[in-house]
Amino acid sequence: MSVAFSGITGWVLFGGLTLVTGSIAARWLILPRRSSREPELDARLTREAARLGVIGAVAILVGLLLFFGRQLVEFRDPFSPWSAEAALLLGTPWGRTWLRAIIGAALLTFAFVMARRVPAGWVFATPLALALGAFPAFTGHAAAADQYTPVFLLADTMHVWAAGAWVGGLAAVLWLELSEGREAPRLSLLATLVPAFSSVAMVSVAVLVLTGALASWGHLASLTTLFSTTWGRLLLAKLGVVLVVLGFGARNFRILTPRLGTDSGDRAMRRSAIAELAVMQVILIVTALLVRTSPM
Amino acid sequence: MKKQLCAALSVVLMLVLTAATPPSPVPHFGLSTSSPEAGSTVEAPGEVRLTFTEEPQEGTVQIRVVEAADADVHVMDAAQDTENPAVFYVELHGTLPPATYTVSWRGMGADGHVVRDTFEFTVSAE
Repeated sequence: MSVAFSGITGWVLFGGLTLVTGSIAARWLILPRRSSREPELDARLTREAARLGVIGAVAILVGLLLFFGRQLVEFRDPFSPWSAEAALLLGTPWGRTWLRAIIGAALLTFAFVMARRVPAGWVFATPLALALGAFPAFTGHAAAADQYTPVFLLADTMHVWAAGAWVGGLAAVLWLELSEGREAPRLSLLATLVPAFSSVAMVSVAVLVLTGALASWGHLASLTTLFSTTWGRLLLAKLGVVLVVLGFGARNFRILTPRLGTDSGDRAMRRSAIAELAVMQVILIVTALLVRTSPM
Repeated sequence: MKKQLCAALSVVLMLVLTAATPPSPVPHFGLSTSSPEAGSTVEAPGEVRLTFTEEPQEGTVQIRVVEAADADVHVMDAAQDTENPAVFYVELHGTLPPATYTVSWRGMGADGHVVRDTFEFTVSAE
């Protein structure tokens, strides 16, 4: 299976996971921390966050279907019919986890559609989105750990949640800003959304660093394998891009956030956030390749 | 102040993790040993036995033994050893005539990676 297809499949799946987590983060962590309280606007923004969740859930469904296709192509015995091999694959532990995930993604789509109309939809969407965040852990390297398997499974799941809150949270902030601009031309919302997002981003980055370090510690036989294996080199590439994104974040926090509320400041923050989000896509693609590569 | 403290603690923990002896690294599914061995010349074996680096996911191992000259498939179904779950074998029905045989196998590790490979062995005339 080509590296490009693996990268695209993982990007769609991880992209979907970050969007649904970002939507959840917007609903429970970012919107309630906005400094100004405007009930009508808050209700509209919550509906927009649910709409982003629908897009993310559909992306997860598409990503999971691509993921199954890729797995089937790799798994298939050329002498057996596709249908027999698909049935065989679905009967494996991997297949059963995939089935649970695709049912969860379908329910999540429904829950986000519901959340656009009634607040109760969020109560269903939140646990489903968090549970789907565990899918990469249970079908990846963490599941193969000989020792401390529950620790690595939890760390990988928390890594996905934190990445979702960071990358997806930023996507949600931009989505809310741009969608509100479509509804009715008005002052930018960034002055109230960005400070609320900043604290979420900082906690997320701390969790990402800790869980990433723990996973690397478990996967790497020694520090030299960082340079001698494809997995190690991909990890270094990922860390390099993460540093670039952290640079964006620091600039946004130190220089652009104090300028929010002015036309030029809001414009500069919008541009910077879009660029940051674009670079974050590289992290998702590298991660997609990382999980398909043996650490040894 | 609290943020600086969190950042410092994170860095310290990272350094401790980096310096600490890691657990045995995540194994990667693959073939460890086989009987007959790859490239060996043997008398007609009664079975082909493969020992993997880790226990594969249930229902994913397939082993085929194919005579290289006429691509005649001799065996298809693999059985799991009752004592060592990382060992799979196929019983060969009847005596294999002298020839070179290709063993092709497939399995999926706990991390979902599908691995497949082939090796050859030769059955001698005597």
